Amino acid sequence: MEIIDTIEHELTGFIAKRAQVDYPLKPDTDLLEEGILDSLMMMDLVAHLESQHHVSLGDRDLSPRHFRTVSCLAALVAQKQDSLNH
Amino acid sequence: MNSTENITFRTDTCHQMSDLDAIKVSLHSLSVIALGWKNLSLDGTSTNDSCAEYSTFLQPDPATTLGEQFLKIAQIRGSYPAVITPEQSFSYQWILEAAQTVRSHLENDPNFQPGSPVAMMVNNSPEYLGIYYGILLAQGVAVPLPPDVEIDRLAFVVDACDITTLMTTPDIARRRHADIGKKVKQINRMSSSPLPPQFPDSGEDLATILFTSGSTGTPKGVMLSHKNLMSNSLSIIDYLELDSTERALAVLPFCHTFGNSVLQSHVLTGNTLVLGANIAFPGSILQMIEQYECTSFSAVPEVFHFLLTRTSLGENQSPNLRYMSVAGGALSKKDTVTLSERIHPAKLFVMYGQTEATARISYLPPDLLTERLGSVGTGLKGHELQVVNHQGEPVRPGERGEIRTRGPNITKGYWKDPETTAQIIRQGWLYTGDLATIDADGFVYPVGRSNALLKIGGHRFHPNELETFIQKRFTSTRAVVVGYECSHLGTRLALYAKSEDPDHVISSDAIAAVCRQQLPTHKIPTYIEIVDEFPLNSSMKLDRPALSQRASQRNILVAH
Repeated sequence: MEIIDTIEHELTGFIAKRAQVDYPLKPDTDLLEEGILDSLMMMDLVAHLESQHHVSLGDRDLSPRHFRTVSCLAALVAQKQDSLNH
Repeated sequence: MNSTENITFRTDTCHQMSDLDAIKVSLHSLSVIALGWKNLSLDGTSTNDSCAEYSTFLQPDPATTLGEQFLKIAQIRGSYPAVITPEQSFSYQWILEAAQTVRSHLENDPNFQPGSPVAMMVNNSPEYLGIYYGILLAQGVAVPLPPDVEIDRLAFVVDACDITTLMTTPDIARRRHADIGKKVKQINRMSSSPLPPQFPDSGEDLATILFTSGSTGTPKGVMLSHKNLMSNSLSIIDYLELDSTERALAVLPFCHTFGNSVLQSHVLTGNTLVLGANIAFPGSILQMIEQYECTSFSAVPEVFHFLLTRTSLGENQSPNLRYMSVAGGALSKKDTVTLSERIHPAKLFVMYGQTEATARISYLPPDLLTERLGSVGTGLKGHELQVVNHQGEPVRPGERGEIRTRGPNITKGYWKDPETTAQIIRQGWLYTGDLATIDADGFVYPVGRSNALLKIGGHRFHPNELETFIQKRFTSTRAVVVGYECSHLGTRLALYAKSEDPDHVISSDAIAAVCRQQLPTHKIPTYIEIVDEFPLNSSMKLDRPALSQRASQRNILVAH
């Protein structure tokens, strides 16, 4: 749980900084509905995940299922990191 | 009976900045019209598969205006889908009814008369088509703006064009109510069966004004006549060999010149636009191409790079896909080759253009792609394309110069700005500001810009826009904005700010917050630094390349 919380915290910070958000971003904010996740944001976010969180993302990972909220995304990152460590 | 209702939105928290309040007060006097007919069941909706009966290709008549051609197509192709979204299909009859609703509203508005510019803030949707062609049927001039346009630019455009009406959709009116006011009139249906519309006598009349970043950083309204749009669409229809069975997966914003060219070339031939793909998820693009049997896909280089690196593009390719096209920036040679190989037998069109030339200036025939790698081709049929030196003389093969072009696609000029118009249009030639070389066979190879304009995700951007934006909001602050290359992502913005008053402290967090709140994503700097001094070069001028290099070296984006 702790790892996920850290990832969530970091990702919330990154997205809030990069995107056009003028209210507190929550882990369950719908990034798609709020129009936060456009293509430029997505490209930057994927680059950030790969370089800062050391995960590699494939075709199937880049789906609304994983990117709809920060918590979904943190869960994906944690799971990827976990499978790397084992 | 005119079916209208007034919807009132909650007022938002107040901003503290007085100049913004002044802008808002002026915007709040706009008449905001939202089209909310989506819930109505018009007879015009159609299903996905009712389109086999039409096989004759309808070649648009170059002498007609856009409104006339749209009306003709809508009448002939009534039940054929104009727009397909994942939820629903919208026939040409549906779009026509929507357009007549808009027309009827405008014609009953005492502030409107033929030739009046009407602003529109609408996402790619069937409503966009209804509003755009509705404005033309009323003989108005459509001024499309991105729904996330910053308030400064919106106010600039409204003021410059004396706009009294802004057309939008309820969702955007709701999202932007703090900027455009809380009183929105919603129209749902036509007041009555309208009389046949009147059309402008001459194709020289204005159809659209597209605002773009000018070479000085002030937005410029590129005036496009019916003739400009019709002739450029016909050129595109010709070289892309569009027939009567086209289905374009349209992801480029229609309010942008490239997206507008996809829209016009398909609607004026009675073809279908497939909407609703989210380019943030590259896999969904391939899925939609397959699911909706799309024949084409057009995008900017960054999107193709994303597709190439993140999807299995080319594997299990849909047999319906005929071509992909790229413009709005330079696709790297490596990506060009890989993309054309992976989508084969579908073709790749590398194209070049700018808003001032309606959209398209040249294209490279796909069979010459390898032989002429890096070239954008030789210019459209019946148009002239040259690369010239400072004296306006054509350069020799291999020499660098500025691209200029002449033809029916050249803008009539910038709205209310004859001075800047005279700088870019001289003796009928449009000077593009793009630098290039040309080979002995007339193939043009772009190498860069002669001014400070940048391309970010396909959007033209002048650093001065953001510098002014910051200086307007933070007193005693000087801002310098540069583009920097971010590996694999393309160009991003770095902003350096300096306090001009020792007692006045500025923070990068405060600047970042204002940018986030008030700018569309592509204009938000990904690197902000407060500096004591700006670096100077050997001639004691601001050293922008040094600032750009500094941001690149820090690989700021990923380290944020």
